[in-house]
Amino acid sequence: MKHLTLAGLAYVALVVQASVVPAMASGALEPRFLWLAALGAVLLFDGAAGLVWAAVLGLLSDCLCPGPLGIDLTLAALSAALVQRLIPSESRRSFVVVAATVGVGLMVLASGSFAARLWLAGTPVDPAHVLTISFGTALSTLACGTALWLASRVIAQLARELTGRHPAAMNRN
Amino acid sequence: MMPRPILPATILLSLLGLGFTLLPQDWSDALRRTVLDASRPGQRIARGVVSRAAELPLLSLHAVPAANRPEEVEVELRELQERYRHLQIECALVREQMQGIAAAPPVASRRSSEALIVSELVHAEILGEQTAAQWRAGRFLDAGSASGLRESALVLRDERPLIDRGADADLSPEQPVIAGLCVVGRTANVGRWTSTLQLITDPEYRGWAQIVKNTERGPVFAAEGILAGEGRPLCRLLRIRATEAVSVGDDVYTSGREGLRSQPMYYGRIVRAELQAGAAEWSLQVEPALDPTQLRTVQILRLEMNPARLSVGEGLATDAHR
Repeated sequence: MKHLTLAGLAYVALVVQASVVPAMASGALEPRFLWLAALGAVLLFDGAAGLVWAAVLGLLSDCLCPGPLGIDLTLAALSAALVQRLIPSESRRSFVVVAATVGVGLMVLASGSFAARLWLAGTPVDPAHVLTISFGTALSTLACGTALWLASRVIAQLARELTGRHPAAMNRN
Repeated sequence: MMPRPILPATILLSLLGLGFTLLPQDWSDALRRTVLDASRPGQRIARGVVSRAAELPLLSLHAVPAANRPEEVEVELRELQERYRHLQIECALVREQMQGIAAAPPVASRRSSEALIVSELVHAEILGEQTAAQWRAGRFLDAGSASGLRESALVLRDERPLIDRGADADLSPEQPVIAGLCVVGRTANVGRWTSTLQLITDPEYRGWAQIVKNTERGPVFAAEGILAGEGRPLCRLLRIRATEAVSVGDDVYTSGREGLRSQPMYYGRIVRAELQAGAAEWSLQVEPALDPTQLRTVQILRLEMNPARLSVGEGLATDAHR
C-alpha cells in the first residue's frame, strides 16, 4: 500500500514538476518536487527499498533536466544511503529530524546536481554561485514541502472530523 | 535494530547512475520522451485544474499559461530530428555522387537533323491591360461580327493576360511560353489573333519540374516534382519525397518529362523548404524567375515535325512507288 501511494505521489510530483512549476517559476529557484519525493521515500522506507525509490525519482528528475541522465539518480541513491546510515529509523519520526534531513538533503542534491551539470557541460564551476542557487532551490522546495505537509494535515484533520460526526449523528437519530 | 545492509544496493545504483551518464544521446532522448509522454495525461489534468482555479473569483490567481518546458523539449527534439534528416540526406547525396551519378547539366539543345520533333520560337507581345480590355470589347475589329471577323469567345471571356498571337501563327493550347530561358507559362485559350496566357502562378498551372543543386562540382540534377501555381506570387513544388536533398536556394528547371527543348527552361528558385516531422514530402515554395507584370514580350515554343525528316519520309514514299 505504501509503495502504491508513493508511486502515485511520484507521478503527481512528475506532472507538477513538468508542467505547473515551469509556468509559475523559472530558473534556479524552481522547487524540486521530485527531490522532495525522493527524500520522503528515504524517510518512509528502510533498506534497499528506500534507495531504489530515491534512485527512480532521481532518474525522473534527470529526465526533466538538460544534460546527461544519471546525475540525480546517483546523487539521490548516495543521499539515501547516507540518511539510512546516519539516521536510525526511530528518529525519522521526529519533525525536527525530518525537516533537517530534508533541508540538508535538498542542499546536497541541488549543489551536486548543479555542479555536476555545469562541469559536464564544460562550464567553469563557481562554488559560491552553485551554493547560492542550491540554497535558493532548497529553500523554495522546503517551503513548498512544508505548505503541502500543512495542507495534508489540515485535510486529514477535516476528514477525521467529518468521519467523527457521522457516527454521532446516527446515534442521535 | 540492525540496519539492513545497503552497501551493495548503493554501489549497484551508483554504477547504474554512471551507466545512464554514458548512455548514447538517442537512448537518453528516447527515455526522456517516454517519461514526458507518460506524464502528459497528468499534465492535461493539471492544466485543466489550474485554469479552472484561476477562474474562481475568490482566488487572485492569474490563468497559468501552458507549460513551456515539455513543448520546448518537443520543439528542440523536432529540430534535432530535422537536422538529422538533413545530414542523412546530405550523406546519401554524397554517396550518390561518389557512385558516379551524372554531375553535368545537359549541354546545348540537340540540333541534329535526326530529331523527329523540333521546336520553333514564335515571338509575341503581351497586350497591356488597357489594350487587352479594348480588344475584348471588340473595338479593334471595326467591321464587327457581320464581316465574319470575330475573335474566339473563349479568349474574350478569359481574364488572363493576352498575347498578340493566335491560330494565325499556328498556335495551339498548352504550348509553353518562355521569356529567354525562363518559363512564363502556357497558352491557354487560342483565338484567331490572340491567345490567353496561363502563367506559372496560375492556380491551374501544373508542370513537371526538376531541382538543380549547385555543388562544387557544378550543377547536379536532383529530384523531380510538379510545379504548381497557387494564384499567389510564389509557386509550390510538389511530390518531392522527404528523402530527397533539398535546400533553400536550389534552382528549379523544367523536367525532361515536359517534352520541351533539350535545354531545360528555368522556373525559379526555392525560397522556402520545410520538412515537417513525419511528413512524406517536402513543403517547398518557388519564387518565379520573372515578374509577369514586368513582361512585355514572350516566345511561344511551338513543336513541329522536323522538315528534314519530313523530306526523307517523302523521298522514301516516292521510291516505294517506283
